Amino acid sequence: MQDYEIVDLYWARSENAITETNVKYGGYCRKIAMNIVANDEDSEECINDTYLSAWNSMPEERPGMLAPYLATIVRNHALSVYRKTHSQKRGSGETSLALDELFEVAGSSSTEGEVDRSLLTQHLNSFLESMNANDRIVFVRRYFYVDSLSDIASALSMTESGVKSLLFRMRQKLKAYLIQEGYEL
Amino acid sequence: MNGNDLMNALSGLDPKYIDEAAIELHGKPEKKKAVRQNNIRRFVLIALPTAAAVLLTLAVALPAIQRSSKSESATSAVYEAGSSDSAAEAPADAAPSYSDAEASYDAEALYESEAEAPSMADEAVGDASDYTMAEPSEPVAVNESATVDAETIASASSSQKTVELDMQSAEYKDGILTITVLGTLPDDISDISYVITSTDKNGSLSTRSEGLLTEIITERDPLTLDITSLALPNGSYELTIGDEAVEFTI
Repeated sequence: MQDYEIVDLYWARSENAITETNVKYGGYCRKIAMNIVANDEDSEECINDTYLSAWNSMPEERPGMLAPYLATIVRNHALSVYRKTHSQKRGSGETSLALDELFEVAGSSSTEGEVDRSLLTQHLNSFLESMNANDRIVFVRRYFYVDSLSDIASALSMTESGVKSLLFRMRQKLKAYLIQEGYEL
Repeated sequence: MNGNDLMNALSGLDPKYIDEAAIELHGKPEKKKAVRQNNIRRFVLIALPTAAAVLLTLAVALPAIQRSSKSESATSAVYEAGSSDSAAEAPADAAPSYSDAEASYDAEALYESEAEAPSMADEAVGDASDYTMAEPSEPVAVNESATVDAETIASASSSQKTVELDMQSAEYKDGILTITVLGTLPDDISDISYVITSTDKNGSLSTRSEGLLTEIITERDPLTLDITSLALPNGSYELTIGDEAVEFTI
């Protein structure tokens, strides 16, 4: 079923909307959730919350591409679950590693939330625009999808050390770019 | 700002980038070409035309340099026709920069030996019309510019791959090679390659691994390389980066 047809089901308040979403994007959403929470039970909870959020947001929203729309929702739910279960200390696993890497870029300031998030997102999009497709996919797989280095290497026919080196260089470039845009890092 | 801000902001990525990376939905991207093929292509596209340009410049410059070395004992002089005063002063001005000679194409000019220049100055006015130096002076000007071009090209090409790490020692542990350096890596390391070699008991040198430094570097300071994937057996090796080498033992 095409994305616009599934969206039409949401708008028509048809229960088939959730069924069709699960058929087409269930596996995709589960992968994202599992990458972040690393737990079957929490992952299922995230999926259910995602479908509920999608149901509540459509109508009003009419996403052109359903995959990234759902990916963003499930990612946000998964990060919330991760932070609740790791409120005292950073856990192990890919999410922790990815966060550590991002902390390398942004620093470990305790002033979280004081930046303009939409502006920061704009800058991130501009940064990604400047990269070639392969590098951009590696970056997005690591820090949006929270894939492991080995999964990224396997998916893109690279070595794990090659992925690690590439990400290292991109983090350096991102840091330089954000400093140039006026962020104090 | 901290890493959590970045993690949160990434949720707002442009959908096209999220979709582009959705390998679960779209399959694996096109297989990346082998690094070696890229290196070969890079060599063909950059090194060959550069070498051709250098050879062409040398082909033009060398004969001109030979000619100029023959005329080094001669002194160039520039005289304006009909001006005896200026002609008398001309020898002092006549050991000029070549740009002066070049600028006076429309004036008659004389080449004189340094010893004869003062005596010739007095006769120059009358004889000036017998000499035209436009052509002889031209090669001199070309000499200098051609030499500069060749030097510029040589220095430019030599500076592209300059690595001044001054590697002191290398320590291997659990697949990670940490190298003590006194110098620094250039900002752009995309073209810097590495080679790891070993010497067998017969003294024969064999290459165990080679590629781009970017494939194995994980930290710049200290310089840290992840060579786990190379799966080198126990033994002694030499790591070469640019023109520098350092030994390490696994």
